[in-house]
Amino acid sequence: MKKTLMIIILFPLVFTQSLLASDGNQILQKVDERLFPESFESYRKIINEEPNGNVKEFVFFTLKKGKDKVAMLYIEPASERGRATLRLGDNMWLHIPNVGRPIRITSMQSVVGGVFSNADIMRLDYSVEYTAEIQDQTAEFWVLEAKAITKMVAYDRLKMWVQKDSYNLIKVEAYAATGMLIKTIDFKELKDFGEGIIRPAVMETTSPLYKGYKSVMIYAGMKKRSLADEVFTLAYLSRLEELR
Amino acid sequence: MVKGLFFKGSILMIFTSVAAQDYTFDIPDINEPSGLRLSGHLDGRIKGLALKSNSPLKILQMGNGGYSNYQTQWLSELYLDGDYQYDKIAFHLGTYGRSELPASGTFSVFELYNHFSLGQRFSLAFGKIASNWGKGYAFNPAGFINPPKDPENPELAREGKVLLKLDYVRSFSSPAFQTVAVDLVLLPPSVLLNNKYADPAEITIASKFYVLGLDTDLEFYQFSDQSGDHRLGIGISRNIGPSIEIHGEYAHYYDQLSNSFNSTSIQQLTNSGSEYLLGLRFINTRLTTTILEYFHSDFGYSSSDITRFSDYLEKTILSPNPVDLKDAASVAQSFFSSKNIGQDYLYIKFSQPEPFKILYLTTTVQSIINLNNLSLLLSPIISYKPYTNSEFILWSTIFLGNPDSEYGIKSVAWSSELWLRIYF
Repeated sequence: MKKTLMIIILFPLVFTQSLLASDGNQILQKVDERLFPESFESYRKIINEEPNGNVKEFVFFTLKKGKDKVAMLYIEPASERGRATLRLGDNMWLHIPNVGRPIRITSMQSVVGGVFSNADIMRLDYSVEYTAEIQDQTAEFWVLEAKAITKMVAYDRLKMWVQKDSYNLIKVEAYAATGMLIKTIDFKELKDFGEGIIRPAVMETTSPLYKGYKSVMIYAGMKKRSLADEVFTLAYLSRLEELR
Repeated sequence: MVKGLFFKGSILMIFTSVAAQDYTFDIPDINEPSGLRLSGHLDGRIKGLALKSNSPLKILQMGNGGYSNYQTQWLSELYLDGDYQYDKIAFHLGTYGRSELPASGTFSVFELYNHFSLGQRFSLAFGKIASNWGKGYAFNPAGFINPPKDPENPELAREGKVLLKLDYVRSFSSPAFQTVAVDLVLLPPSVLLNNKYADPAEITIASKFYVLGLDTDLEFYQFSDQSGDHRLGIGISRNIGPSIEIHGEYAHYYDQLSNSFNSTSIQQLTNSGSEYLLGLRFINTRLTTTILEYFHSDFGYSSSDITRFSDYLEKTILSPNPVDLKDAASVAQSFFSSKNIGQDYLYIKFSQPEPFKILYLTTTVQSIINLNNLSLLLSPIISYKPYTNSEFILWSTIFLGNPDSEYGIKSVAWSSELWLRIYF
């Protein structure tokens, strides 16, 4: 009898929890669909603002296909030109023209410095790396709690604010396993890039670990493009310029 | 809401407001016509050297006395690259120009090759190409067709070899088997008729087979020339967790020429042997990057070889016969002047961006240790990049070890260089 009572009491809780998780994952998938088409090219600029007010800028040409293939070519400044990075799932490589051979890099590193890490610049779909459940909601937003699926993911936990009417991502807080806040990313400037791509054009990030620093990523020229899988291989890294 | 449309062939300007600031984004190169694009960097270097007063090598190279043991070198180096891309066709030019006191200079073509993309999976390249086989950072045992690398500065551009290369790459959707790539390389023989003509029967064949599977890079290498120089190698690289990468290489050489030194001359032998490398790269939460590599070569000089060579030099500089001095200088230059001439090395590099929160500064300490005679070089390096496309570098090196060891035998006790680098 006691056992039956426990089941009757606990079942709705467990059922609701799994519903919330399922809803959370579905929302996360919709967020990914809003942020990135299935296969596309884009130009991005990263602006790193230093504590002394100086600014360093980088421009990239980016290709992405599916949920976990990203290739990037550095265009500016001249000191970085010709460098390229590739991400396939948890694997990342950096190609430096003089070195020639792509070297494996890690998600924690930042090839451009500033607050954005390699994991941020070559981000996969959130639904590939995290499972999410609805932690809270208002009339306007869901607040998702996303947990990393594997230890290879850069951030252990994310807190995400998602607009209910559009599935647009508004803000992300990234946490380490210790509970420490690593960085906050604000998504701004909703823009219509054409071909049905409507998404934030600006991502602004700050971090309590980098006091006085701010990094901004600006998207331009995002358009759908059919890409062969072979574009996302080490052999193609030195040839990305031919795809511009 | 502002509507933005992207047209290839026209400049797109997007004005965005972030906080109180406007950010403009001008996509570069879109509006430029196809043509040769030049890039590169110019290095101005001043090097201070402290010579060892009693070094036999110094006496052989510079004579005995009549000059200060503190010297400087003044260098300008231009690395000028040209790239042309049109649809599936490209060519690349890499040059190196060097000018030093008083008025001498050299100019080299490091790379000059055409590249053709034959669809998504095949490509063909022909010309002078600096290849980069292998997984190691400072050493590449399996770099069969690579130009020699300077482990003190592995990222420097190097002079390539003339070759023909056909590449094939194929992607798969299985995580156990994601990518396969094959490189087939043909090289002319090293000995040419009249320095111009190559016997087609003596062409060298080399190949590389690459697999990405289970998040691991695995490569197999092969090299065969008609003189009987055959080599096989394997390379592997993998990330362990978000902050550690491990890598390794193994190469076996059949009938490889190797040198040893008896008390008066070089002995050359042909035998089989191996070289191998184990390494890791680690980054911590403070973004300190550590690279560690252990390298072994069966073909390097033993400690005894280097000791005998040191004894030979000590005796030779006392000889009144200038022919003896000339012979010794020739042996030193031909057989003992290249990098890592020994058998076992440990390479260590620590690099820290913005230490003590000093903006634009990166500090590095690197060391190469000959484990057989425990001599080493130690280099503290400071890089400062306060302005875009420029870099100031202070690079010092000290050589430590017994006088009859690899680094102790060198004529320089320490050196310190100031570089000014401009990118364009």
